[in-house]
Amino acid sequence: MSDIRAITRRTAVGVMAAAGLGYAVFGPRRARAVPPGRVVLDYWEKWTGQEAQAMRRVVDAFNASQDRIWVRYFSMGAVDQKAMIAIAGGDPPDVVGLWNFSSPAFSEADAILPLDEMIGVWGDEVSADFERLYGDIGFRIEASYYAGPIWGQMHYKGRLWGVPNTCSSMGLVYSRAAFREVGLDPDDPPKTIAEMDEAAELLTTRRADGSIERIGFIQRDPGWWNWIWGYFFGGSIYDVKTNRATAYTPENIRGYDWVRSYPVKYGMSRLVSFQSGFGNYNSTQQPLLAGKMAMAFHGPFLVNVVNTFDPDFDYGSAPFPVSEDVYNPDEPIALLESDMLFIPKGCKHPREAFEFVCFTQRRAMVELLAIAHCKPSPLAAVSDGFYARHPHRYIEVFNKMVRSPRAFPKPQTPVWPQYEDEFNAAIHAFWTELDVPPAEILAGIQKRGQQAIDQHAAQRARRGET
Amino acid sequence: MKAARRDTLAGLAFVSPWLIGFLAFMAAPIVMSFYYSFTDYPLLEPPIWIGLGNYARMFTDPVFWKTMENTTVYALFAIPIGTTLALLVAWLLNQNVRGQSVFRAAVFLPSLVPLVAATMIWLWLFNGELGIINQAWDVVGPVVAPVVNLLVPGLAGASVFALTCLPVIVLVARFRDGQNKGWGLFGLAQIIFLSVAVWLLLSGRLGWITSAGIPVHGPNWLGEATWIMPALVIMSLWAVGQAVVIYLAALQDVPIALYEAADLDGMGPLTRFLNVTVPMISPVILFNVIMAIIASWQVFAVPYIMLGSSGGPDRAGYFYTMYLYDNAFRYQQMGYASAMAWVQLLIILALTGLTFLLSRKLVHYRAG
Amino acid sequence: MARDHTNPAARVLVYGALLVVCFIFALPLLWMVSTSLKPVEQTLREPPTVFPQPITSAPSQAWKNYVGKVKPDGTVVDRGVWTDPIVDFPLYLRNTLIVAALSVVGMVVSSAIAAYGFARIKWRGRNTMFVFVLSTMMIPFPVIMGPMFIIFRDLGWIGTFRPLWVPAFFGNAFNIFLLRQFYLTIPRELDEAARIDGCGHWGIFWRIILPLSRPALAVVALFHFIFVWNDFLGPLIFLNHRDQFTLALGLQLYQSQAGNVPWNLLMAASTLVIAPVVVLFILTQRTFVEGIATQGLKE
Repeated sequence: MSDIRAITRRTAVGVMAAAGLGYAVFGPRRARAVPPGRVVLDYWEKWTGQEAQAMRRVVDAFNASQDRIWVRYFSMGAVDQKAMIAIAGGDPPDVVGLWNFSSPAFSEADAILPLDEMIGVWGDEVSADFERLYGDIGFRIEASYYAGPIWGQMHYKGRLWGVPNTCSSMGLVYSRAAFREVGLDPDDPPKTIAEMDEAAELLTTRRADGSIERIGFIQRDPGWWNWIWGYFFGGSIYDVKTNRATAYTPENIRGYDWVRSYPVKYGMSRLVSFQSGFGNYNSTQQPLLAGKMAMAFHGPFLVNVVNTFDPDFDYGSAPFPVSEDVYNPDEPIALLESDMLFIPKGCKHPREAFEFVCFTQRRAMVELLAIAHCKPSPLAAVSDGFYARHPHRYIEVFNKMVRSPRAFPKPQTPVWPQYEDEFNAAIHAFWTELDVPPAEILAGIQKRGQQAIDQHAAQRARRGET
Repeated sequence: MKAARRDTLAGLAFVSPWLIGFLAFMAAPIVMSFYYSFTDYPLLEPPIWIGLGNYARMFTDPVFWKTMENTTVYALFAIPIGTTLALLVAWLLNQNVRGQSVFRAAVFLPSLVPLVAATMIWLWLFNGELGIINQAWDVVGPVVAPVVNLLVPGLAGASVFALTCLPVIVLVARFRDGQNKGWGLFGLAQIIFLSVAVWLLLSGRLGWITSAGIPVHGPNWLGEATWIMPALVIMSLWAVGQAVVIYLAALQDVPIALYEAADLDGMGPLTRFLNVTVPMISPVILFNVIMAIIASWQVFAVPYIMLGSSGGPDRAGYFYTMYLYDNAFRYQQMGYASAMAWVQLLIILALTGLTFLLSRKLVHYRAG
Repeated sequence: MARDHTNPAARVLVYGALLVVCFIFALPLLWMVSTSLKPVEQTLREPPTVFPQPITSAPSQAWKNYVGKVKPDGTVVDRGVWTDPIVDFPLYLRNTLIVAALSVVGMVVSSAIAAYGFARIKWRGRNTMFVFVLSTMMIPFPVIMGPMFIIFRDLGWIGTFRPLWVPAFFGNAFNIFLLRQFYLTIPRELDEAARIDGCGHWGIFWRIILPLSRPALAVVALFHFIFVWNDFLGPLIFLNHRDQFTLALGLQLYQSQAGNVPWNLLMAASTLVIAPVVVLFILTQRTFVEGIATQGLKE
């Protein structure tokens, strides 16, 4: 009896194995139909969902417009890590979408190719091609074509490494309804930190048992920029010229003292448990939408979430409030990030990749992406109707921030991943370890950040580079 | 002579696949890794010799020590608790129950689950708002927690602490051969273990033990530094099935005669377990502990997937191998990573050697 | 031999404890399946329900989650694991099976051959080399992971499956040990008989040892298959292109960076990844358990 069972079992295993083998041999292949005769480029990009769809439209437009090149778009999570490993492994994609702050690390690691060389070699050719195919060149990779700060971000150590496909400036987003509710003027958002604190207090509501129902403002949400708070007091955490970590400076200390003041004022454990109930960013439970926050530090892309989940939400946008002594309405202090395209070293078809990259810089493509991603345009000038077509009601605010002389990028150091990790790890201490002064935490961050920087500089020196 | 020669050739021929593989995929990489550990090697550029620079750097690298600490804490808790649990379950299964194979299957299956899938499941279970662990806690906690905390502050931590330390003391004590009751090496092992544990406790690194007892609402397991390690330890307990099966087989091998003798001596079940069963299966326990030590030093996939590459808030879930991987592939520090790998190798060898040394005195091998 | 408790109260306690233990162990898997049968909104509900509401919707929801529906032009009607445009599950399944098939074949063959050399042939240096073999079990993977990456890069194999299955063709200490133990239990008289018939070592191996060691070979095949099926770190390092991902890497793709994780889909995908292992285990339970037991009892 058990023999029969054993035989049946063995047969079953055998059948499974055979099925597995059959599937392995005859199963689905990489199902991407590429028209024959074209050079195939692999393009890795960080975007998923709606943002990916927009980029795919650009890719499809490129593929449809000519017959020599075919670009395949891949959504990759942790695209910078994957790209670095792939490049180090000799198996890179042909075009990769990273960020402006990736260029120091990638260029120093010799992982990407400089574009200024390619412009010199192929620029005229591609321009002529575009003129022929589309009737106009449509782009210029020059300083006059791009917003000032963006042009700066495209360079590192004097060479041109990437081109932007989208950019973002971060600022204050707030609920105008909440403002009206407490008697604040929704057209006059806080401009200084002092005004900010006042407004936050007014906007914070509690329940009968003392637990928080809505918080005016909370620095820890969304928690993507834990290193930034000193900048609004005129500080910065990294000095490019001297290659020094400057976390431990008076402005930063004031910044993080300000961060610390919130859990002190509103009750640390109350804030922590309140925040643990925050919903996901990409949902109706986004804290601002759900009425749990009244003001937030965010990018214009938040409005995509608004338009998807709560189109009637009455939001306002403004540059983030700064300390009184650095306030200047004509030069808002704003974080400027851009998503950039790079060509990895080891790319098998650099000429074709260059052509694709140039295509993405045509004004029509750039603005298509900006509108679809709900972000400002990285170009110096926008076409008529850009503002009209744009889904963000206050996109001009963000455009102004992009062009402000005081717009700052993420620190341009190759050890940015480690340095940023320090801040990410430390936010916990800033927020909850109330007996440790922020200055002390910053001193630790600076020390460790400087260690990483020096260590990297020593590496470079060993190879005879500066 | 000729036959021997032929045999030598044949022998080498048969083992040649393994030998070639060993040389190519193990010996060569080990030598290379040793070499790289003395270099600065950003992967995309050639290595440059820097002597002991990487090793010196480790001493002053706070992230390195954090990962050491995390890995040690994890091993310190997961291994004793896991062993206790596995022995307990194995003992239960050994009690001549019907349907033993079904029970055994239920316990063993989770250890077969692909780690990625298991991590996803536990990510879902540990979710701060939506995971069922916290949902259940929210039901029970508000009632139980205030009462327990009032009566016995720090109960949660104390019980976990006891759960970890006592089995070690008990087991090690029982490993002893009947005659040799001196302190010696096993005493030393106990002292080392306890002092490490006490130091961790007093230096505040075990925040969830010193904090005020059981929280009323389920904590944000993967979002708060103090709860990450408990979450990881709990998840590791889910996979004790493999150890259970091994212990079960070992228990079944214990001759009945010994039990009968123990009964005649008038030993109660607990005494019998400690004085007869445990010494009899001690080689198996030893083997499993060694494998667990080696495995705990290579923990990577679970925290990597759960917390992302930075290791969670305050790097509370940043393990040694994760930092190694980051250095090798993200931070352009293959040389430093190689040095870390060698340190890891030495630690594992040392711990294994120590365990073996102890086993000479502790482990009771059956005669014959 | 198991102990025989005559005390009925004790038996009840033991059964009770076992039931509790098994329930707790099974709970995560049961919860995984339960979540995989729900639509997304129900996974976000607090407090959660055990069964999808209403329960009769379970089969259709299961179809939606597991299979999904995509129109020919690519628009997604219902997002399901099998047809998901973002996570190409069928492709990853195929990749995993390819690597598994090649690996298992290589591992079984090479380990069997090497084990014979260590078990049945007396030659100089054999025992020292065997100690070497055993000691390699203690080498942690991180030590060799970097250099292996470099070796494979120089060979141009990064971005192919080769780094994952080629090393399997050279055996592995664990399996060699297992098979050697098994070979030692095969009576030598059979060898003698074959030798009289004029067989050399290879003949003995092929005609006598190999056929008799089927159970042990099954253990090796099974264990190695499970290992490859579960492997995460290897594919993480050696596979970069989305087209090449294995199931282990593919599962990770459901973890999006900013926003909702589709828990029901992720649990459905996890169920699909776990299911073959479970089925295999049920069919081969005894082999499994014996295999683990021999591993554990060795000294």
